[in-house]
Amino acid sequence: MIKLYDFELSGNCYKLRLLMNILGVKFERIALDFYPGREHRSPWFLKINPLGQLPVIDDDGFVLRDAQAILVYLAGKYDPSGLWYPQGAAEMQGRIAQWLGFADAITATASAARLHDGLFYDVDIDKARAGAHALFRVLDEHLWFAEQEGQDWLCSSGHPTVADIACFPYVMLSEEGGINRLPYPAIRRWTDRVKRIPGFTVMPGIFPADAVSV
Amino acid sequence: MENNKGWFPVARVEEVVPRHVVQAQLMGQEVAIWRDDQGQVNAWENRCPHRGVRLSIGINDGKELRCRYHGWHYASGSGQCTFIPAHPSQKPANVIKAKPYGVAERYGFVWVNLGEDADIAEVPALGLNAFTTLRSIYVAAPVAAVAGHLAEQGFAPAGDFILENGSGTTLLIQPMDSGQTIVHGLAAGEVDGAERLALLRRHNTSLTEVRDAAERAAA
Repeated sequence: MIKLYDFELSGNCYKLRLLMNILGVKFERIALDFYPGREHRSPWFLKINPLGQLPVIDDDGFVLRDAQAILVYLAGKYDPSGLWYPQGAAEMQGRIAQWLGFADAITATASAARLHDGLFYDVDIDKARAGAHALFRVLDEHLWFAEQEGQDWLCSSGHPTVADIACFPYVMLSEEGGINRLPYPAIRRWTDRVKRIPGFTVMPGIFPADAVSV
Repeated sequence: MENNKGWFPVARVEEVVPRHVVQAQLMGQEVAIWRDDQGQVNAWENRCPHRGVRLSIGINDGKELRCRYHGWHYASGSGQCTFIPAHPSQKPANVIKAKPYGVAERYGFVWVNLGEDADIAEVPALGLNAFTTLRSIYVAAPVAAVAGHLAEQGFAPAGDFILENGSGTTLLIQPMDSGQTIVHGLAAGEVDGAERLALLRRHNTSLTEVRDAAERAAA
């Protein structure tokens, strides 16, 4: 069974739990004391990930770090539909990679602001919030025009991809870092759509949508 | 509260989607906007009367809005509280209700009036029959600064918080608060397909330029 080195309050760990729940993949959680214990920087964990970051998975001996990389791996290996990370589609894979990079930029800004506000990290908070707002503007505009073309998801019309899963958590948690989503109505509609994906699961700070579908 | 009266667009009609709650702000007041499954649109003070939690994080179940905190139910239309989960056998008192504002759907937008005696007949007449609603642009700058930059682009006042440019574009200004503004827009005429997308892109680009100029000046 997949082992997930995990922290309950991490959006990057949550996105793996979310995709595995959607795909029906069984996994075992190995909870680290990320805060206040900083166990992700402990000698035993640095042997697993020398970068000292969560999440990491161990899939029967195959060890992989980096949330976005793990999403790609999980979809490639455990999604028989092939829709979460389509193979052999160069343009689609390029678009997905673009938004996976965008998810990292969200982590560097919106997640950093949340760590500052919630876990007392030393972060340039004004810069982090301004950076998140600049990204959310790009995201809102992209999603708005996507809707105009009948496209519900970041990269595709009919089905979400790992890009949606990658970007969702720290957008949804942004208010814990003082980043209001009121100016981003298209983002708010997209987050409701993500919450209605069958198999959606929650984490502290992220609520489900109405269980009843429209 | 005379200052609070008047009708303002707060969202494009098609963006108030089923089973969703739009979070809006008008003149410093947050407003939760939601549509029931019959199509009726509601604009309420964004505050649960029980513990003050934002109703915009609540659940639109198609008939009622349920608060996320203690699950109190509020009926579409009246805002009347219909059910309190912690007191399932008691009928909630009539005085427990979400606060509804005046709401109307005109010209492709949901309009809200925060006044006590909102009269739908007073929604501004725009004299447009065929139109295309544009992407609304959020600007982190005061109304006056935004209007100043729009004037440079050829937009002149055509009513309170309404601007026109003489070539078929009408802009409607939503004051969020003293430092934030939303510019809604309509282009005369209806087009479809690629032509419509090109029109939307073009207006989005020009309004985004105005936004950036206004924000640079306000910074």
